[in-house]
Amino acid sequence: MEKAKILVIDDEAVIRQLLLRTLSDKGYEVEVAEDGSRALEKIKSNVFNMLITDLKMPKVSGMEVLAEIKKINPYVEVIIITGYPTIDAAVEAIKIGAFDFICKPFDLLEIQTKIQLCLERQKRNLSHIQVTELTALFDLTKASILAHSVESLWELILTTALEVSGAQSGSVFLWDKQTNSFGKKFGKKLWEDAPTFTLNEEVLAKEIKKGETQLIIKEKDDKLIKELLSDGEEPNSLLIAPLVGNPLHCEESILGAVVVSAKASGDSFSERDKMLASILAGQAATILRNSELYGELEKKVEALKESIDKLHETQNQLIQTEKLASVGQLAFGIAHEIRNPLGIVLGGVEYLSTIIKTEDSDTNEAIAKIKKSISRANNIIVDLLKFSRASRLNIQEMDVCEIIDEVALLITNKAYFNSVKIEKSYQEDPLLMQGDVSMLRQVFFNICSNAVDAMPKGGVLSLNILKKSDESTGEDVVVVEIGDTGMGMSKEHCLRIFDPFFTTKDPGKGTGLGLSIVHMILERHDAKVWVESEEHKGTKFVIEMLQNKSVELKNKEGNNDG
Amino acid sequence: MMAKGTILLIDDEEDFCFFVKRNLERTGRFSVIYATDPDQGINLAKRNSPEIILLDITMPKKDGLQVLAQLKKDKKTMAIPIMMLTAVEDDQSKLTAARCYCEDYIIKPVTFEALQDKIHEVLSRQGK
Ligand SMILES: Nc1ncnc2c1ncn2[C@@H]1O[C@H](COP(=O)(O)OP(=O)(O)OP(=O)(O)O)[C@@H](O)[C@H]1O
Ligand SMILES: [Mg+2]
Repeated sequence: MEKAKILVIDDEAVIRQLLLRTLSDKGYEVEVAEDGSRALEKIKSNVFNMLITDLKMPKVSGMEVLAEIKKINPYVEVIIITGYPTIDAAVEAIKIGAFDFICKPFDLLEIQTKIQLCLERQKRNLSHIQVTELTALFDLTKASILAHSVESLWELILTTALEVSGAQSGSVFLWDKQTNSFGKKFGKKLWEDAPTFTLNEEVLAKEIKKGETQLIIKEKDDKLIKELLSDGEEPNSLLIAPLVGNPLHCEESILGAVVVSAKASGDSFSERDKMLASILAGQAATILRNSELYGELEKKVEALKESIDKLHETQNQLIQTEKLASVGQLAFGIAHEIRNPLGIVLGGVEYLSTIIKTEDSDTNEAIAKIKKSISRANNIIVDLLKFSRASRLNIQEMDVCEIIDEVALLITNKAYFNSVKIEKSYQEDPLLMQGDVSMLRQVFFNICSNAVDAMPKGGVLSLNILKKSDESTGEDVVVVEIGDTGMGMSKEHCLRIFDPFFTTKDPGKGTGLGLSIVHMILERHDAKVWVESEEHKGTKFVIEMLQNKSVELKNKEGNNDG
Repeated sequence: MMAKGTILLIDDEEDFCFFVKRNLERTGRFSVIYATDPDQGINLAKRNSPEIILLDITMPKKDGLQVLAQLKKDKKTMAIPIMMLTAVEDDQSKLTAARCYCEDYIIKPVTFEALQDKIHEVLSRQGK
């Protein structure tokens, strides 16, 4: 006799080991899994007689494993073990189809008896069927998940049907609800000259509406065979398995039929073949229903995904804009609030330094340090105010090439110190567009300045200007690309660079407002900015601006100024 | 040697006044009077005819720019040079102050040295 295969699932290693050893000793083939998701993987690639699973596990719970296995292969028996038994859980587990429920700490003997009982029951249930044959059937369900088209699905079902029944040819008939007759058909034969038969579909329809798999043997049911096959050759036996959506309402829920004929051995089909065909039909009906649902679901999920993506995108933008706008407002207020006490501190230090008037270098150094910190704090405020001012624009016609030229000029010194070469490439020169000259200059300058900072050992700063038309609206778009060959950034790093105060620079070197200002100004310009970066390779900022500002934006602009 | 000039400081921050007074007086060239209440400041200006007025903008009872306008309208005080000494830095306030003939606009925090320079500058423009 074949060894019974048992899968033990428990997140506690001790229990896994204990069961593995005891059950292996008793002659079972045992595998273990440390959590639900591992277990599901194993279930999908192996056939087990039974599962022993813990209930409370991280990720996928025992109950979920139970539900899942019953879907994949209802003949697998499941025993649940748990340290926290509740009546509700027990009832639910049994409802879903668990064989039994064992509480921790358990008695090894008790477990062994239950396993034995459980396997007995399985044997009784499957007395007609070999586990190996079942395997083919359950492979079907698994494989169907992977089928790409309806055709490949039916091919799969028919192949399995022929395999388990030993037939040479067979067909799947699909019921068309609209015409109330059979619609699509798929046929398959094991080899080229296998006998095929043409069925009378009206008679077939009448038969399958009975809802039961029928084994039709020529000697016994000659009349029916004659009706089903109005002309031509007659096989010695036929299996007709209806595909029904709901076994309680066969007539209304008919989905189609699987018919196989002519055993290769020349024998008639047996009761065992009938049983297998009926299991197969059940599975096929489920697959069919699932695939219909799946198709619809897929569409819905697709649509849902799209709208969720959009939502996230706008949400992110909103958050960013909101964040920046509120920081802008705050900045203005905070700046003054801080400057007042700062003024007092400065006055105070200066007063103390005059009355102390010491030669003590330590005291003088201390005073110098305080003064330096005050001026640093004040510089932060200056930046903050710049930031809050970024909210007011003055849109005019301007030449973007000229601005980039100016910025290149402004950055020349800094670039020279870092041995950075500046390379420019303009598709059109001049290229006129509408925007706020001083604001955009600040945008490009901030980005270029970061780029040079990112190349302390030299490199190339490339400034490209191109023009294109927007894919969806057809409007003219000016694209400015600012690239460097510097240190680059990781993905997580990239996500944060537009956040106010995010900086990786040394204290005093950067306030982390540069790119927030960039973002805010471009936001006001209705422009897009994004960054492409690779660590140790370099970074590219891409800015897309509408060449002509919409009336709306200009109005918005007017309001801001007024 | 010049006579000690009087400087009037109008600022709601008592502590700020405390240090400005001490720093300026330590030079021996000025005597400083101050008011933390704008209206009281206006009265002091009228009564003491200071040589220069240092004026804050954000004050709870009255905006410094209003005080400026009021002082510049009053015959008794219109000739006194006024310097804004404030934490508020925006173009609108600067413009308003300039339109009201304020002499200078200084942003806090300011070093004593810079403040002193500005005061001298204003005074020398006045021919003092
Ligand atoms: N071209 C780049 N290459 C690598 N990192 C960059 C680049 N541009 C920006 N960053 C990263 O983004 C951070 C934020 O930049 P941002 O300009 O906002 O602030 P900052 O340069 O640190 O300070 P500030 O500009 O206010 O003086 C930088 O500290 C740096 O880590
Ligand atoms: Mg920067």
